[in-house]
Amino acid sequence: MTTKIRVLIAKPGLDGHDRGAKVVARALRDAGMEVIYTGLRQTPDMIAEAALQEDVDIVGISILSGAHLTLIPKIKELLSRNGQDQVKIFVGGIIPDEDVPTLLGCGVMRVYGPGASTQDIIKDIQDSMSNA
Amino acid sequence: MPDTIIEDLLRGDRLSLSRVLSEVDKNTEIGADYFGRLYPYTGSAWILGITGPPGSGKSTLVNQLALKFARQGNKVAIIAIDPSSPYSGGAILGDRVRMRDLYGQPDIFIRSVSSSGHLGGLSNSTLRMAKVFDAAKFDIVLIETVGIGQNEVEIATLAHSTVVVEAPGFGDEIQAIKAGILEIADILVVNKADLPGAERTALALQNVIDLGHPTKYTDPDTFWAPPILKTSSVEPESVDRLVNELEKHRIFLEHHDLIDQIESRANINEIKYEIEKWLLDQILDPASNPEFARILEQVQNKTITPRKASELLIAWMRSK
Repeated sequence: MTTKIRVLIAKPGLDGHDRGAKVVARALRDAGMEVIYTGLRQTPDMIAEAALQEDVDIVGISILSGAHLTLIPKIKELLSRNGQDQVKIFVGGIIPDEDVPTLLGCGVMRVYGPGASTQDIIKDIQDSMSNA
Repeated sequence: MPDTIIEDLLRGDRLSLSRVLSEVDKNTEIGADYFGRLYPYTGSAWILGITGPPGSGKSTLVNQLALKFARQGNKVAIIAIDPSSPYSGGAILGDRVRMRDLYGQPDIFIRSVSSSGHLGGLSNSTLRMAKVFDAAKFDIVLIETVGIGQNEVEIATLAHSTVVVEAPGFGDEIQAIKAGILEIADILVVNKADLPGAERTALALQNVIDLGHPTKYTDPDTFWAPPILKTSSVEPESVDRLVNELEKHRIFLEHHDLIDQIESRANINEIKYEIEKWLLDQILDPASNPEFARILEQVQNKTITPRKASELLIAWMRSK
């Protein structure tokens, strides 16, 4: 029995646009993954708590509000504090190019902008798990 | 994973609990080992099943119930089951979305599970996961089933108390009389009672019960007529009434010594599942049993019947 990859799709902050997150969620499901969607307006604490209770392999953060440099490092910090250092973080949404290195530097695996292919996301997630 | 994971779980470490739940859910060897070590610590949690058709508002109701129970000082676990895709095996586990109020409650733990192709409303790991929570000293385990429809009766084989949730306008009385989901109810709930048609739905259900529709406990010595409640998320006291009825049901079970009977049924089910799994792996898998392919071909050719095939396979198994 192949182990299913468990992914948390999280929407932190006040950003109310989740169509992209839902598109990704469905694509990941069709690739055989178990996807837990948090819903909108989650704090970093809520996201870290969900990641812990659900023992996810991956946290996918969808953020279009511009608050990524505040929220994403905070989420990473909380995951580590909870003992979940090995959880891999992927980010999607509206992230200016100049902020991508900062995010990668604080532990994010990849950042996807608008128009990213769901097939690429699926492959990156699967690759990250086989390298674990 | 650390050697001390079971000790850590028993001491209350939640990451350990979460990881053990994963191994048990995936039915791994290590999960079976963990489960064996935890099994002696099980037997005190009250297991509640919440089932009903899609759109009946189960998740929201579970949310409210969990809050009430937590405020009473209970440690509450929620196992929320969603269907997996029959094609990809993947799943969107979306019940957490309805449970945002529960964030920050230290004594509430929510775990989303996919049905993984299992029919009947649960996953095959549901009872084992409930027992892990039991061993971790959770007082109440709320199981929210998949929510497909009329056939989700499996929950009744493993929960102490089963709540069946309907929404107003579910159909006429003929629908209600159909066997299956109504028969397993210890408590019937008409949810979203703020919507029109709630009273009519409640009356229709009451008529069905009064007409002598089969219910779980009909022995005159241990009779329990499922009460019909109306609940609404805009009326918090309605959930208090549900909590009261659940507590009454629990007392009823204890008073009539029915807990053992329920657990015996659940255990038989589990043993049955393990045997079936073994049979599938050992006997019915062409890879581990080449005989099977040969015998199946004879059935396909109409040389022998399926019954004869089963006799041959059993004889083969005995000879091993």
